[in-house]
Amino acid sequence: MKKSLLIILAFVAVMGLSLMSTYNGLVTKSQNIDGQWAQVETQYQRRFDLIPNLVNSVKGIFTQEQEVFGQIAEARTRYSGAQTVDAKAEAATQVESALARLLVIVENYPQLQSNKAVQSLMDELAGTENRISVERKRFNDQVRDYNTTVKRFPTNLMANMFNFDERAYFEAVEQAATAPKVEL
Amino acid sequence: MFFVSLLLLGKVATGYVNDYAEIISPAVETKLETRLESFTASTGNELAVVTLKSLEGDTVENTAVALFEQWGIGQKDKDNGVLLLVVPNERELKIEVGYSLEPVLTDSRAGTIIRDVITPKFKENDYDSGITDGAEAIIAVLAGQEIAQSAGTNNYDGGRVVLIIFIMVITFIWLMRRRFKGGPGGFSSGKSNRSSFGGFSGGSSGGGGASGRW
Repeated sequence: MKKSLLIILAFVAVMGLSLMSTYNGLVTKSQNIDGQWAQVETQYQRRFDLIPNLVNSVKGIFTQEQEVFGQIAEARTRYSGAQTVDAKAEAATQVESALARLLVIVENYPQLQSNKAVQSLMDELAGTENRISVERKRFNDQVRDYNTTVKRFPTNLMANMFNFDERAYFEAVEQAATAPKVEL
Repeated sequence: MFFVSLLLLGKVATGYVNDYAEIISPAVETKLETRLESFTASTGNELAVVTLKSLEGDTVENTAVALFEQWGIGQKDKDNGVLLLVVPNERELKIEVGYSLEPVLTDSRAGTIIRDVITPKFKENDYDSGITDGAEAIIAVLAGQEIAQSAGTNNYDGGRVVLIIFIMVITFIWLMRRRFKGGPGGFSSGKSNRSSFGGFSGGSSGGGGASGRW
């Protein structure tokens, strides 16, 4: 009798330990995703910090293209007002396409290509866009890893029990997925 | 999955200079290797110079990030590595900067090095000078100096003398350090220096730097 009780106790202990490590694993992965998302947001912030400088340095030259500046300002306001990750992602995508248009316009102004200040701002902007795509790709990799874990048996039972839901990927619009080419 | 690239599969760093495209002359390669080795010995930063034949359809930015990740250029907790990647087939290049060097080697400084130092030489098909001058410019920026333009080749002899003295001093210090550490010591040739390369140290980058074409 005593022996079987011991076996049952050992079994429960092993089960408990394995549940605990599964649970902790899910928590870690979920935290990593949040951390990676913070990285993405840092790069977004960096982009927003650059925009006013860029706009100020080229605004006087682009007298005909005031529309694109309006779009950038609007998308920027929307981003600061966004509360959820999805809303932020959407606003960021809008900034991206407005910026892409601005970059095309800048490329069409030869007199800007010898302007050192504009050149260095464009370098910073291109670098930031590239950083965003790198951090976003890493974010998606971690979401994929987490989602796979959550969906697989037997972790899925555990995930259901403790409400570890699937996480959403960051879907960038096709044109914005790569850093814009800046040729000066 | 766009960072997983077949073209990097099985590529292991054999030194600070990895000339897969074979565009650097052997003498310059040996000299640059020694230079980069002493640079790491004196500053702890790691600068990798890599040439690839082709990008196989990927972008130079993605390839640089993937290579940086695969090799872990820079020290693990310091992320103080830099990668200079040159791809002659697509005529594209990228300076990829480790996280902690981003405030010093900014995107705009990296862009200036590409535009003013490297690509003017590449346009004359002078890969040796373009790569060597580019590496020196990166090292200079990391040491807090201004970027010297490589417009005329002969009009900065003064700078060159200072540079040579600098290299000699660094090499001397480095050799002394090796001696005291009980390493092989003495004067060794570039070739045997190469064998002391033990791989990069696990640093990471996040897409900072600049890219360009020529």
